[in-house]
Formats: sequence, structure tokens, C-alpha cells
Amino acid sequence: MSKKMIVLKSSEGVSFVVEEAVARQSKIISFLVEEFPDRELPLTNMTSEILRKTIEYCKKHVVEDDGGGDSSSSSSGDLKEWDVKFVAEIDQPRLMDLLMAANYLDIPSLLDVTCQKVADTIAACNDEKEIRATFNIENDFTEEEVEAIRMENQYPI
Amino acid sequence: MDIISELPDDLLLRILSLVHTKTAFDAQLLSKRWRNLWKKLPTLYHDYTSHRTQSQFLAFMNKTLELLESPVLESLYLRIVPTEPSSGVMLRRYLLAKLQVRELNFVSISPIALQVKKGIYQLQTLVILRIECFSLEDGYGNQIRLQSLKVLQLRCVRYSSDASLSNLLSSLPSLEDLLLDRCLSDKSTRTLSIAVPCLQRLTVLRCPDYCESHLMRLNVNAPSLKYLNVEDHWRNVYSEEKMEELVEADVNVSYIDTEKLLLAIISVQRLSLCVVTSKILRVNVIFNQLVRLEICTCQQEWWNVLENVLLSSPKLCILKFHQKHFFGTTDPTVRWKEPSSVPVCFASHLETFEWRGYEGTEDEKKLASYILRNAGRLKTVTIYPVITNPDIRTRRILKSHMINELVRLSGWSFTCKLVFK
Repeated sequence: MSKKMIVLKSSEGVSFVVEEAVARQSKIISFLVEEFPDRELPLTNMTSEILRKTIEYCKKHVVEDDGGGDSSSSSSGDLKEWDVKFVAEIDQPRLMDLLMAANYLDIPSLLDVTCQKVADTIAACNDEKEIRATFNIENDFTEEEVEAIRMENQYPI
Repeated sequence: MDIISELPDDLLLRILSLVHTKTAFDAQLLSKRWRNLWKKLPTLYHDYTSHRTQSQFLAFMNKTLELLESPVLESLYLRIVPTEPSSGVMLRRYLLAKLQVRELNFVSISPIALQVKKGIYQLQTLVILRIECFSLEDGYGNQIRLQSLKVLQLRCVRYSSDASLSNLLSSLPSLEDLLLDRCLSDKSTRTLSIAVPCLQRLTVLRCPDYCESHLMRLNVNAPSLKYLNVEDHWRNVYSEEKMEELVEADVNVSYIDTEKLLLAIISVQRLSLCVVTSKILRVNVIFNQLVRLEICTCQQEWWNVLENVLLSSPKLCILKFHQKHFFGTTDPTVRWKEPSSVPVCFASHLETFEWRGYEGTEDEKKLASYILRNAGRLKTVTIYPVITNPDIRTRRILKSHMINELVRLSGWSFTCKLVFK
């Protein structure tokens, strides 16, 4: 059986041919496909690398959804495991790109897993210095300002 | 490059909602971008374990609530470890008065049950309330005002008297969904009443707690109930009133005299049953609306239970067997016998039959072929056999052997679909 394909184009102009069912996990693409059938969709703010990752995620999830059927509980467990591995393998800057892609394309489950991974990374840090170092956050407070915040946040016991 | 700080507020808040509130609070020291973010958090998660002492924890909790930019919260989790039995959770009263929260989770992780402070009962906007490991006092009576509360879950809650639960319930005019998991009681508590006219869903789990020294009963009077889930081992749950609106019931009991409970749910449409005894109903009692029946196969007399319910359910369309629990031990002397008469639903309604965990024992073969032979309107039969042999080829051979045997025994007519998964 031949499946309907659509073309997604990255910011570098690279075309990705994807099954429509795979791409439709993005609510935005789902909407665009209905409005503009038979057209390739330019995703100008997504690099090829991130688009490839996003498609990989969608492919995995669409396959599991199709074939899940009766053994859905075990396959949803496997899928969760796969998700954890999927985000674990991505380095921090690319994780942020993927999170933004999930937000931009409106793929709720991918947004969930990427946000959770960022939250886990924050939670694993010992203090704000470590969070700054992990995410390259520049400290734009003066020492006096930091002291003022610390004073303000001393809660009465 | 600092990408995370460029994320829009809603995404950063989404991320911060997934960490303990203490961590989200400390994130204000990162940079100016992060300074006031936490004040807009939709969910606050206060966990005692992220603080050094109880008093520090309480002070922090109150401080954050005080500084919130908008006092409208989606949910508030309070997870505490009491250091002394009398300490309780002290949310300052003026904070409770201004706080608008939709969902409150109130969890103590100590076996010492703390008292629920009456301030909680003033939260007008509360829709969902979960309480775990606390003790419920009575005497608050007219001070309880939870007009909007729809969902109440009480886990490991200790009831100090017969009135402690009913007092609370009588002040919840909108309650639709009630869950009681492990009711604990003081010596003086004998009967808890659940009399809620608008209640639609009731779940009673692990009732009573096994360590309790005396029995406590739960008297249910819920005429609007649509969904009932009961797990009861000491005949604690009973209802004098019939539940006429009931759509679905999941009954898991391990005591003998189940008739009273089943009489109350006689109007049910979908029933899932796990009981120990075969004599569950009087002969003249009929499940007139029952269309779907699931029987748990973990108890040794389950096929006698099946016979009893089948004969009393003239409109049954769907029949399923599966093993939900692992309570029972099989006694080889308990054998399946053909019922004295063929159930009415076999000739008129039964269309779907499913058996999960079919092992192909002599009794199982007899029962399966009896159903296949006598249920003339069957459209779909699905059997999930259990074959433990590790070799795939041997498994396949054993499976086809099982199918052939069943077809032979039942005189299979091929008018319906038979699937071996």
C-alpha cells in the first residue's frame, strides 16, 4: 500500500520526504497539510539536524501508535524508555533547539519529554552557579543586587 | 550561547513547574531574566525533604505563597514529614483566605497521622483535594465550606469518630468523585457513612487496612452513582439502597456473603467480578441491564460464579475471562460442570467472547467448547493462550494443537470469527 508523502524543507534548503501520518503529529503541519495540499512546507527556522531529530521522534511514535493495538501497555512502556534514551543522547544546546522545535511545530509529547529533560538537568545541579555553568547563563547581577535578593528572601522562621 | 534564557515565559514556567518549588525559587539568582519568573508558577510543589528543618520548610512555604504575583494556582502539593505528632501543617490563615487554588495535594509521609487543620476547609476555589496519611477530626461541622469540590481522595486517612467522614462529606455539595484507600480508624469508629446524593464515582481500595484490629463498616448511600470500584476483604462495604443509575462496577471481594452488595448493584450495565464464593445470588435475582461481564479467573470457584451470573443475565452481549489478581490457589478437586440449563443470553444476545490466559486444561477446554457450542449468536471469539515453552516452533505447534482440539470439541461451525492470539 502506498502511503501519502509530504516534503518538509529545513532552513538550509534540504528536503525531507516524510509519510504524512508521521508529520501530522505536529498540529501545525497537520493544519498546513489541509490548507495547502501537494506543497512542500518550508520550515525556515529549523536546521536539517533538528528537523531530522524531530522526524526520528515522530516516526518512532507513529509506528508504535499503529501497531500498538492489543499490547498497548507494554509498548507504551517501551516507548517511554525509548524517549528517555532519545533525549539522553542529545547534548544540551541541541536539546534546547529540539524543545523549541517541539514548541514551534506543536508536538505536545515531544515538548513534554524535552521540558522534563531540562527540568531534570536543573534539578541535578547543586546551586545556581552550577545551573549557570550548565546552560551558559550569564550572571547580569551586581554583587549588591545578589545580596539584596538574598536579604529579601530570608523568610521569617 | 545562553539559549534557555531566550525561551518565552510559558516554556520556562513549564520547565520550572517540573522541579521542586525550592529549586524554582532559587533560580531567581541566575540572572535578571529569571528574577521574577517563579512568582507566576501555576503549580507549587513543596516538599519537606528539600529543606533542613520542619520550621524552615513551613516558613519557606508561607513566604512563597505570600510573594506569589497571582494568588490563583492550578495546583499546590505539600509533602511533609512531621517531626512531632502535634506539629501539623501551618499555612498562615491570611494566606489561605487570599489563596485561590484549584487542586490541593496534602501528603504526609509519616505513619503518624497528623490532623487536617480546619483552614484547608475554607478554600472556596478548590476542585480537587487529595489527603494522605492525615487524621480527620470531626467537630468542624459548619466551618467546612468547599462549594466547588468535585474530587476527594483520602489515602491512609485515620477517622477519629463515626462522624468525621460524614461531617466532611455533608459539606461538599458538588462532590462527584470519591476515593477511599486504606481507611484507618480509632477504636471508637465503627461505621463510616458515605451519603452523597450527587456522587457519581466511588472507589474503595484496600479496605480495611490489614493491621487494623477491629472491623469498620462503610455504609454507602449514593443514589446517583454511575461507577463503583470496590476492593473489600472483610465485608466492610455495604449499601441498603439500590444504585439504580449504575453503569459500571468493578467488584473484588474475598468474603462469602456477597449477595447484599450485588443486590445493590443489580442495575449495572458493565460488571467486572472477582469473588471467592460460587453462591453469590439468589435464583430469582436478575441482572436485567447487564451487557458486559468480565470474570477474574484467580479464584478457584470462578466458573461456578460465572454460571451463576450467566444464568441471571439474559441480555449479556460481551463475556470476558482474565486473571486480574493472583489471590487464589487452584484445588484440583473443584471441577467444572455443565450448567443444568443453557443461559438465556447464549441464544439471544452473546456476540463477543474473550479469554485471556487460556491454558487448555481439561476443565478449560470443556468450558470453552461449551460456550462455543451453545452460544449461537457469537460473532467474535478471541483466545489468548498461555504457552510457556521457550522454543518458538514448539509454541506454534502447541498453539495449533490447542486450536484444533477446541474446534473438534466444540463442533465449530465457522459462522463466527475465532482468533487465537
